[in-house]
Amino acid sequence: MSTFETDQSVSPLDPAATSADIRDRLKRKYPPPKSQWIALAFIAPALVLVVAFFLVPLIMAIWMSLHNWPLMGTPKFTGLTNYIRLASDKAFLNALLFTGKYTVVVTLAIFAVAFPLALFVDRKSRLTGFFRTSYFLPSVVGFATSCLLWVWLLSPDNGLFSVALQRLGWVDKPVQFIGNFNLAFASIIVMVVWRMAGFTMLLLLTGIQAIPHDIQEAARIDGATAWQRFKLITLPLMRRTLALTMVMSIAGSILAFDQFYIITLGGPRRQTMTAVYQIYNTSFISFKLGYGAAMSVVLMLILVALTVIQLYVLRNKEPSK
Amino acid sequence: MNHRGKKSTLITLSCAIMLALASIATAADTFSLWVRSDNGTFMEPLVKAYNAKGGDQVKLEIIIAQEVMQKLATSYSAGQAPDAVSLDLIYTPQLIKAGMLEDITDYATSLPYFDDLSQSHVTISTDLETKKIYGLPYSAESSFILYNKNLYRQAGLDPEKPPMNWAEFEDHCVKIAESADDTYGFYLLGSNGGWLAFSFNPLIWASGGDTLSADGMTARIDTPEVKDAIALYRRLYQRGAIPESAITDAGANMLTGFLAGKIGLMSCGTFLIGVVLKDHPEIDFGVTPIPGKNGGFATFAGGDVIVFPKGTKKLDASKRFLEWCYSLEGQTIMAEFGSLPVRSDLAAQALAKLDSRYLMPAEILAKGHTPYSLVYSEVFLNNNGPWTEMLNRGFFTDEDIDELVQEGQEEIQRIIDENND
Amino acid sequence: MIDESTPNDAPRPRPPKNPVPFGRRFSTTFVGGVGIILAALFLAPMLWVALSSLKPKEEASQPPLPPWPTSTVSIDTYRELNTFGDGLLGHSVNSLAVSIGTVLLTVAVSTLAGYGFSRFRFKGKNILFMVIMLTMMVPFQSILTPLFLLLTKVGLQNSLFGLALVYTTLQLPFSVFMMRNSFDAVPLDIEEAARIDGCTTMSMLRRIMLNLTLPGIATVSIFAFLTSWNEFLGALVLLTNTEYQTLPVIMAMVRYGKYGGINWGAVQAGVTVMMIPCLILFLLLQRYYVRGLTAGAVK
Repeated sequence: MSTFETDQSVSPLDPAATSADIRDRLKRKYPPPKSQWIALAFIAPALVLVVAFFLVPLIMAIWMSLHNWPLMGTPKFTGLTNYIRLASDKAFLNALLFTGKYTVVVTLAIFAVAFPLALFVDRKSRLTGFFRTSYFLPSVVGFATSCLLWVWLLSPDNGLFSVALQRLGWVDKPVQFIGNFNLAFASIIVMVVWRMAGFTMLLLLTGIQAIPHDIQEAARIDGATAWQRFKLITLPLMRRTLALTMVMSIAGSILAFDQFYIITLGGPRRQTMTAVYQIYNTSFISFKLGYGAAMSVVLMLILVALTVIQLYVLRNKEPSK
Repeated sequence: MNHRGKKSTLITLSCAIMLALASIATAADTFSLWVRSDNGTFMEPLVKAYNAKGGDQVKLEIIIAQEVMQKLATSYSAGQAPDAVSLDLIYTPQLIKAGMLEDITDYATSLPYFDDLSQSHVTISTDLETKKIYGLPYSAESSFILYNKNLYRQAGLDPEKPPMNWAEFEDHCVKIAESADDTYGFYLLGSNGGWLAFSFNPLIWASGGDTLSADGMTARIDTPEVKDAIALYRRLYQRGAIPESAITDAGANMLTGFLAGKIGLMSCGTFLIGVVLKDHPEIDFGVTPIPGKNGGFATFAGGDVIVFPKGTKKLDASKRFLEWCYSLEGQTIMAEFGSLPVRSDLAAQALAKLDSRYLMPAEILAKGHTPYSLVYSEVFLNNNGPWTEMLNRGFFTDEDIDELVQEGQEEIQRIIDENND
Repeated sequence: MIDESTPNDAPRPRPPKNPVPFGRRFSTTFVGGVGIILAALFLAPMLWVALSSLKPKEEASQPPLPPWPTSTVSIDTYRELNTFGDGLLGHSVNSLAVSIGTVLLTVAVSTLAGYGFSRFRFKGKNILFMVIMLTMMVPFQSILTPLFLLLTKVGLQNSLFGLALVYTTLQLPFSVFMMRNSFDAVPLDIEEAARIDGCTTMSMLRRIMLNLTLPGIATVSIFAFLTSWNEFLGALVLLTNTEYQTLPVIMAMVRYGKYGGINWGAVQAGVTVMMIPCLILFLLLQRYYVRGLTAGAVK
């Protein structure tokens, strides 16, 4: 198995300095009026795709959310009725609550595993490359595929875990991993951590390695302990990486669907229904496309707001250059 | 190439020309037919046999069962609907209401064997108000009980005397569960709404109750029959006759226990007969109808109706195919690969070559029930819906059954009413 | 277990070659052992399913202890998998076609856009960037129906190309972000030097910048491949004919047998088939991939 190693030779300069430098020179080199059209020409293909396959359908979805829009038959304009109904829709509110709970727990769990892993694989040893690759590999497997794999592993009668526990004599009857909420929730968290920890580890590792070596060295010479260096140098200098990783993890968790759809089926007894699952059920099982669209719009607004807040918090604390 | 070769080429060529001429004469056509993935087993050989005749050609698309409606609706609104769809019959009222189907009343009633077709299928394909017919029976499935005779013997029960009422049913299940450590009396899919509707409803029907009114507009959940049936399953669970895995099973492990010979009784459809015969000849099993509280029986008449989305230009070709499916040849192929015959007058003949245990399910079909509802999917099929939740809590927890049933009644009625707004 | 030796990978003076003290050697071994146990935990599920898929039919639905076939190695499970849809080969070809198409389109479109966002100043730049990023914030499920109607209008429904266009759009937020940062990391001097040598913008982009941003491109490619190879819902709804369907849709058929029963052997084979191309691609490109993330994600 080949190993992978991070290589700093691509960006030898301090990244922050580089982009500041570029922006500075851009001002001189490319005065806005001239380059406006060239720039747009470069961006045009991306814009065309986003407008055609995202913005237009999104606007159509928003339009649908203002209707009673059955899967079949004629839609009826109902204004904001769908949104008003949402405010008192217990099932949707519960799904939102659960999504929030899941997001917090899974993000913490992923970081709790990924951060130590990142520090661990930052060490130089003959096996480092192998470790990095092994921890990362699950992230390469598709999410739905991973879920299906775990459906099998968690299956009480012909899966791995339950039977293994029985043979070890730790339990005396098959374990119903999705049988009660706590066990089902824990199983999902373990599965997602397995799938995502390596990826997060790698992102964090890139952040750790971007910290100039001299700073660490200087601190060491000044007699700072490992913990002090971690707290006072590593963490603060990794704020950008941490923020990016956090934003990605949170956005991903809020849109969580596959793992609950495939592994727990929203159960036991609707206790693991996420917001997107609820949207899916409303649109494609209850066939209420308008109501489902309204749920999507609300979820999107929540996600945009959360992201803006995160980016704002990050920007405020950034040391001014 | 030698002389012989040339001659055979010539023959092939002339055959091809004749075939081509023949097909022009009968205006052979190609039409598209969608079926749900559950029915792929018999649709593929059936269509293969039909296409091999060289006349009309069927272009078969197998759609994942759970996604048929979504795909049908989107493709219909985009003008891309198929010419014919073999559809889970419970969806037909929705399609009729949306005005998406061709009216085939005249054609249907002109069929000489119209009265012998499965009446549950015909009823659900008929508009309640206008009495127009929009679909015809295509494939059939009924729910009944399979029981493992080996386990009956092991528990000291008479394998030729399956339960005729709830008391016997409970007694048999418990005795089998007690007869060995790793055997259970009964299995069910506690998290699969559609399967529960198929297998649990008959208990209620056979006892004189119902879960919905005939027009599907009133929920009849809060009734003694429903409560009693829930209590029956709860007792089975509490007395150790149902394994824990039933609670969360939405189908993944449906057959595991029965095929391992560890489950005494199971409410099921004919497809299980096929699986046991093919893969587990060691299991000696019997079949019996799902009993009512004090005797009697009922069954869910399931399966597919065939419908024709409005605007299809291939209706004639579709009809020719359908008539062939209704012939003895067609019905026999379907029976052989897992669908019950939908023509009662041909049932015995079509099933003649098969195991005799297929006969009872086909016969009770004539007395089958099929719930009529415009919100069937949301209420019953939804594994996270009110029906599944009510039953799951009813069977496997200690919560008060009266309250659960009342909650279920309100929730289901609310869904029905909302849909009528 | 993080001791004071935490080093960077960047070249640095070697420590003097003193004999390693015992305690140090023990901790190295111990840490190595922990690392290997962790590696085993992360790799086990994948190995387990791949090995189990080689069991004969009767064994496949038994608990996977041990994971390898005990009686005889067989491809029964793959034969079973082959009975779903139109057969394994055709669907694999579809999946590959869509995935490769998506990779090519994504790389082309996001490289251009990344360069545009990195090297030019213009009005509305931030807003346009945010609009592209917004794609990440909407559940795909909610725009699916409108998307189908739209594709039908332009005659791209039921076409692998149409699907690749949709996948490319979904990939853009990450890819454009990635490529912009990759270009940001290339010093302006290099570009200026090329200009002085008389390169036009396009030829400079092609000849010089592409080489320097190769890690970014590899990263974008891997992501595009993984996403499109594994996507299910879009493929299901946007493609009508079975013959065009991609592997994930076939996997969904495997998952829902009749009334939901699962053929566990086919599941094992299917998971393995879905997994292998992703693993191979990653192992081939991982060197670039990690550099790409470094250049693209630190910003």
